[in-house]
Amino acid sequence: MSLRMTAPVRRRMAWLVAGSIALLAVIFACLLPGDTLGGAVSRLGTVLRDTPRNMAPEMLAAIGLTAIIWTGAIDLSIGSVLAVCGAVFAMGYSHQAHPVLCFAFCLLAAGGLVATNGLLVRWLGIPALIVTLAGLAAYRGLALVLVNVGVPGFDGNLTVPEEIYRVPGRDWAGWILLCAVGVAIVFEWTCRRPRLWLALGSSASACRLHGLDLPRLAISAFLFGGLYLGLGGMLYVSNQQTIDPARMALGFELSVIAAVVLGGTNIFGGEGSFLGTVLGVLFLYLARQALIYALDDVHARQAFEGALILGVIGFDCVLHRGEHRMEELK
Amino acid sequence: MSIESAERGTEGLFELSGVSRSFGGVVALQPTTLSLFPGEILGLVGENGAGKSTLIRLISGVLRPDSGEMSWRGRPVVLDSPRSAIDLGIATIHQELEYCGHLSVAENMMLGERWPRGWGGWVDWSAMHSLARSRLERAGCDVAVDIEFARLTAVEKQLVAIATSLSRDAGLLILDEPTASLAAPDARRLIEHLKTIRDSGVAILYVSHRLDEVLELSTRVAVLRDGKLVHVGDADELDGSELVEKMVGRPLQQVFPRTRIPSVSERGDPEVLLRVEGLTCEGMFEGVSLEVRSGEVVGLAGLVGAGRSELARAIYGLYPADSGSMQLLGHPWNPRSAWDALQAGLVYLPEERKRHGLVAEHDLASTLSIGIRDQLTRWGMVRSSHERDRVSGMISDYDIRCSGPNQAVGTLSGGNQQKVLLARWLERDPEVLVLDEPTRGVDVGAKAEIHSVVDRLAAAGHGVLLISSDLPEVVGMSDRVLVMNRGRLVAELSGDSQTQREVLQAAAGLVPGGEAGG
Repeated sequence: MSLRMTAPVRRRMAWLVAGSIALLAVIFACLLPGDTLGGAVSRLGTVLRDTPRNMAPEMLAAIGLTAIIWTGAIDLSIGSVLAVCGAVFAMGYSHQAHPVLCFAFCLLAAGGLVATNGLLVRWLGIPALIVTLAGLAAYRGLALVLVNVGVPGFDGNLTVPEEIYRVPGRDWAGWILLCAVGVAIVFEWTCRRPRLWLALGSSASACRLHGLDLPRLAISAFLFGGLYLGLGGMLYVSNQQTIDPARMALGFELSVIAAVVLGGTNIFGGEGSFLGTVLGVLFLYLARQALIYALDDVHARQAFEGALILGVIGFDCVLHRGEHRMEELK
Repeated sequence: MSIESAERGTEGLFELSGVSRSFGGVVALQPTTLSLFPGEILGLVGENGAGKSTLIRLISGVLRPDSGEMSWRGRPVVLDSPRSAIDLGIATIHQELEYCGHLSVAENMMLGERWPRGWGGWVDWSAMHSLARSRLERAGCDVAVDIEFARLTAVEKQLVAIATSLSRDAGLLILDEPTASLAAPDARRLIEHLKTIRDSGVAILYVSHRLDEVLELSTRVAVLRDGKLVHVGDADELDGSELVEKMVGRPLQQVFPRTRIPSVSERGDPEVLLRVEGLTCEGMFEGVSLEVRSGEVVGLAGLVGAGRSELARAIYGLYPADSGSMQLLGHPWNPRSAWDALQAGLVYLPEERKRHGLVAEHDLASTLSIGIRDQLTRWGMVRSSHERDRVSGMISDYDIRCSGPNQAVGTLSGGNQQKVLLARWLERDPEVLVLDEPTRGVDVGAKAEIHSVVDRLAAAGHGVLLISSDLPEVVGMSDRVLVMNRGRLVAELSGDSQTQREVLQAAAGLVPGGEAGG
């Protein structure tokens, strides 16, 4: 068995499991007033049943981003990449392409764009933050250009009435998510490549001195990230009735990064786990659900969500402040 | 075949022929011709900035030469990457080990190679751990392979790095200051290990500032000075002072100067500047009591991990103590931060100057002036002319060799970096100095200068707590030596009992006649 997780990651995961259970209790407590016990249980069951479908795009994107962050890089353009996925899907749909082909376009677009980010970062040596900040604007613009040019009569959004185009996002999302998460975790625990991504984030110079091919290693992480983001994009797009590339997935990247960091991944690379990310996304999703039931004001919910993220990470840091200090000084 | 090879009548394992390298017009290594033979240890010495690192980086494929040729077993080779050197059989262990702290020991050992695979092509972790264990056993190293690499001690990290190199069938092993961060017994263990490796036919290029080690271990010694190879010869033909003379180009007399006359013990009862009583920091040190008096250099010796640096940091206010008390200049001392210590007249020179002492990219002027920033400002604004004057004064007072105050501090030699750190804090005119390994990785010339500064400070009435793993230094410089073992103060040695042998015995847990406590 590999040294799967470091102690801080394991500790964070334990917090997230406990926190998720607490959030379920909060949701249940919010459902109880004005309903019978049986009714509340039934409504909680509905919430849980919809959970995999609703969080699938974010969870898949978060797993992809985790691999990228492990290498010491980051991708801030993932929301815009999803917009491009929406644009190519709309183009395929408007030209009556087969649904499978439309979904394949999504995968290819996301994989291609994220891999391009990787190439720019590693081969040209441009910092990931700069490349992907530029991508944030450029890919959103590209999505709008694509729909304006490639979708006849496009007037700001496109409605997709055919049910067949929504099957993956609506009916298969849970299964696709389960398989993809399983593959990621098995990949992490049994293959060398994820460990090398962590090694790259931990010490690029150590990897170089051991003769590893750094650009290839980093690009493989971006490719993996692109694949998972493409899969998430496919589910995201096929779960929408209306495709609007100008507003699709706005702020998505921040939510995904928050989940990854919550899951114990070091934002500077070298440490983390896919399972932690999965728990991070689950926790954030349940927190949002709990806030929907607990608060009417949308802005107050946003404020509480931010405070909750800060609270979990801050609480962990304060509780182990001495330990962090020692590590820093060692 | 080189001249050396022809003289020996055997072919060199690795040969450099007229290899040179410059950086932006500055010649770091003049055309150099040198051979390494199987089963020999070639000691490479020189002051900081003499070109040793450049030579190592050329041989290990990190740098490419501007001119000259290299050959491996008689065949010309081009080393254009670390990978090409590794593939050839050249393994380099750098002074500051590069490793992935969160990965396991086994993963770090096999970072650049194929990992054993099992069913379905997946990594066979148990086979990998067995392989790593067997490699460590072969190298005589007993370390768990499935723990985080960052958890290993300094000597364990070194031994793992050597075991890793040897497992790759290295024909040439390059070791850059391997004992710099090791205490004497650990260094001894490593040296004995290297002799075994040499006897197995591996060539070793051994780079160190510890000249006694170089002379003991090496078959031949090569000396670099100002980028030029000035001497290659048998180690038997040289003694320490001759070697130093070749390195610095002049005779060097005073390594441990003593101007503090009369010594502190002969001056009656000087004022106690720092008093520590029963200080405990759980898991690091326990019940430590000591005193540092005015005009006194108190040595603090012990093995790596004995708790010396942790104690120093607690005194400076970086670690909160769990119990015990401290007094500084006669007042209760409960520091909550480093700033408290600086304000109270206590300074600390950290063990790892690059990590904890300097920002390599900053220029010399800002590095020096940051220690006295409060003295340079008026109404919150820095007085530039005043800063310039103070910085120029510090550069000349402490003989910091640089191109000017705008030079990046990371580009200075190790000795000069250490002088910068000393100057930065001494400019505050502190009462007590805690110096943690002040001459580690510093060449002999700079070492003598640092010793001289410490001696002048003590002579001027300052109190110095000197932590050092360099036994001759800690014995030669100190008025008395306190020895720590496993977080406890186990001996106080002074007078006739203050010898390297006694210090070593106490550090190893074999407490001699000395009495612990301050």
